[in-house]
Formats: sequence, C-alpha cells, structure tokens
Amino acid sequence: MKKKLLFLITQLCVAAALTVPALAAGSYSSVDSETIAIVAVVSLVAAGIVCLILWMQMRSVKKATRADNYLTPGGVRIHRRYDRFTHTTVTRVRVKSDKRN
Amino acid sequence: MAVEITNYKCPCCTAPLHYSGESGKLECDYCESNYTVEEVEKLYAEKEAAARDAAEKREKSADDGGWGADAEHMRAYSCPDCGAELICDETTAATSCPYCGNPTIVPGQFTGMLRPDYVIPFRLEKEAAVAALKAHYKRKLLLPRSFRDSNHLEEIKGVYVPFWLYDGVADAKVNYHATRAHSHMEGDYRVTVTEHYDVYREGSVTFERIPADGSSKMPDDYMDSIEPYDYSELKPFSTAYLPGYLADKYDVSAEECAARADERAGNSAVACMTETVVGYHTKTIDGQSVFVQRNAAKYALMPVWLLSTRWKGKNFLFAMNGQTGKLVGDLPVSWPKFFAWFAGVAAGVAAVISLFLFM
Repeated sequence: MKKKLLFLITQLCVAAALTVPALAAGSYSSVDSETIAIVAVVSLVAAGIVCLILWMQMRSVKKATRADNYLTPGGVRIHRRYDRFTHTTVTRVRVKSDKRN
Repeated sequence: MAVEITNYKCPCCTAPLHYSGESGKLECDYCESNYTVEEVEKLYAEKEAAARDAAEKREKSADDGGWGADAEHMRAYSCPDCGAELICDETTAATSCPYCGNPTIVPGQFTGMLRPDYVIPFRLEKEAAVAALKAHYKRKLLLPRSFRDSNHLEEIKGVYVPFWLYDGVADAKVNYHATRAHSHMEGDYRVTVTEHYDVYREGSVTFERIPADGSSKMPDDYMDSIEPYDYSELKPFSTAYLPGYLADKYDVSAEECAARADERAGNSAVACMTETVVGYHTKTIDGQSVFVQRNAAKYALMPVWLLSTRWKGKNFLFAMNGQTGKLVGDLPVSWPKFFAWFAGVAAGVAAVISLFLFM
C-alpha cells in the first residue's frame, strides 16, 4: 500500500515536471514547444544528477588504482622532457547575427 | 593432529591477557594488572619456543584422523585452559576458544618465512567500530528505513589481516599530444588557431610500502578502501599484540600480489608525469611505457574490524581500519525513495525555471 502510494506520488511529480512549463507557457503564445522541451530536459537531467550523487553516497567500496599516498617525499624525478611545436590548424566558423535584436 | 596453542596469562592471577589498543598494553580483566609488550615477550619467550617444538613434533606424527582431503586445509588445536579441541582453517594464527573465550595464539604459524616483519596494533576498540557504523548510516537519504531500524549486527570481529608492503621505483615514459588554441573574430567569422605540440616526459617515481592484502578471504576492494594506514606506528612483529583478536597468515604470496602494487605504482607514475605538462588547453596521452622495479616485499599485519549484518536475506559487510577508524561498506538503496527524489527534484527545477522564463 505504502509502495503504491509512493509510486503514485512519483508519477504525479514527473507529470508535474513535464506539465508545469507547458501550463506556464500556455498564456504566452510566443513560447514555442522547443523551449518547453528544453525546460523538461533540463529538469530531468538535474534530477538525474542529484539522484546519481545520492546513489554514489551509498557506495564506499572501490578498488584502488593509484598509489599516491605512498610516494616518497621528493621521489618524483624527471630525467628527460621536451615540448615540440609540430603544426597549426585554423578553423573558421560563421557566427549567426541575432536579427531579432 | 591437535597441537598446543598459547594464551598469554596474567602472571598475578593466571586469567587471560588481551591487547588493548587504547593503552597499548596487555591487560587483565580480572585483577586489572597491565603489562607492556616487552615485559610479556620476555616472560613468554621460552614458553613459546617449547610450545613450537611440541607443535612441530605432533604435526609430524599426526594422521588426518578421518577428515580426508579436507584435513590438508584444517588444523586442530587444544585450548590450554579448558582442553577443548578447536578446528579451524590452516591460515588462522590467532583466535579465541568458543567454549571458554580465551584469546589464543597458534605457535608455529608465525615462524621462519611466515613471521611478519611488522604489525600495526589495534588502536580502536569494538565500541568505536559500532559507533562508526552508526555514523556511516547517517545522512544517507536513499537508505531504506527498515535497514536502519531493524538492522542488527550479526558479527563483529577484530582481525589482523596479512599485508605485503612493496618498496620500489616506477620508471615512466609518456608521449602526449597537447594543444593551445586562440580565437579572434574576422568579420562574421570566428577564427580559431590551434597550435599542436608533441610533448614527452621521462622520469622515475619512488614508492614506499604500497600495501596489498595477502589473504584470499579478505575482499581486495574493501582492504584498498580502508587505506591508508599511518606507518609511523609500524612496530616490529610480536605475538603479544595478538591476544583478543583474530589473526590470519598470508595465503597469497608476495609474487602473486605484486601485480596489484605494480599497477597502482604505474598509474601514479604516469599521473606524476602528466602533472608536469602545463600551459596547454588539452593534453592526451599518445603512448606510454612503465617499468616497475621492486625491492623485496615486507610482511605486515594490519588491524581491521569486520562487521557483518543481514537484511532481507542478503549479507552486508563493513570493514573499518582498526587504526584510523575509516569505515567502508556498500549500503542498500531504497528504490521508492530514489524515484521520489528524482520526481521531486525534476518537478522543483521545472517549476523554478518556468517561473523565471514565463512569469
């Protein structure tokens, strides 16, 4: 029963996330569907990031891949180094001028 | 098959002594006497040698007693206090008698090649491990309420885990492709000029005591996660630190564990070389070669508290560094909570953006 209720609340919130921008845009004819879609995507991505952070907090066991804690003081020595310029590449991109302004 | 085992007894009242991490001494719970490790070592040096000889003699003359192939991996010991026969795995070096609770050490398990070079004694007691686990549950928004409320620890044990410590030098040769870019406007065009560089770094990085656990029973990722230990507290090995805790001897050789240490040393060496490549907007590794030279590995026992619990038929293991108190262990996720958070955040963000855009 409790799970069903939580599931229902979840569904309602997701529906709200998708319909709030649409409802808000309803009274403004200038707002296009592209903007509504962007708002919905941004909110879902933000929710995904927050939940990923919360999920990662539950995981604390991982294999070590580095040994930085065991470096001896002054133990890093560079024997040979060079930085050689090889070539240059040039790219040109036409910038759209904003005619609405 | 049974061999003698040793427990350190209080010279005043003959009750068992146990090592206390807090005081750094062996303590008697009954008469409250306490002794330094050196005092106890001196008292027991002769007794241990005699017990070891007896153990070797008995082992040589022992048959498998009907255990068949399993006998190869089992050892039987007699508790010196109550006489009970304890059967445990061949890698167990310190344990406690399940009948009388005496902390006991198996002589012969830490002799010759098997004798550890170092030990880090337990500094934190069982209560600290339980408190750390409770703290681990805090601020975990996706933790199921029933796990937090109805969760009872099934087992808490302090174990000295065998570790190999590797010293060595990692030689790294790394090639990078690096770029620097500048942009400017030319009429309606944005022009980006990118300078490309061939970058090379060759160097060596020295490491000291990279640890790798030498016990097949201990999950490697747990042992990696509770690092680092404070090596300033490494002490020459003595069995006097073991009473009151379990101890294992290694069953994975230094050569077998070396690959793990080499991989870590190599990755860190490459990272050290990469840190010296500065002044570029991008840098990518084109090629690398790493060679790790190792000295002879040292054998050490490290203190670990292992806490296990069961929830909905599944085992959850937590490990705590017995010296620093760092505790790790994966927790279950409540999926209803996960989706509730997802929906709540999505609705909230959508509402806020809509307010700014459309109101």
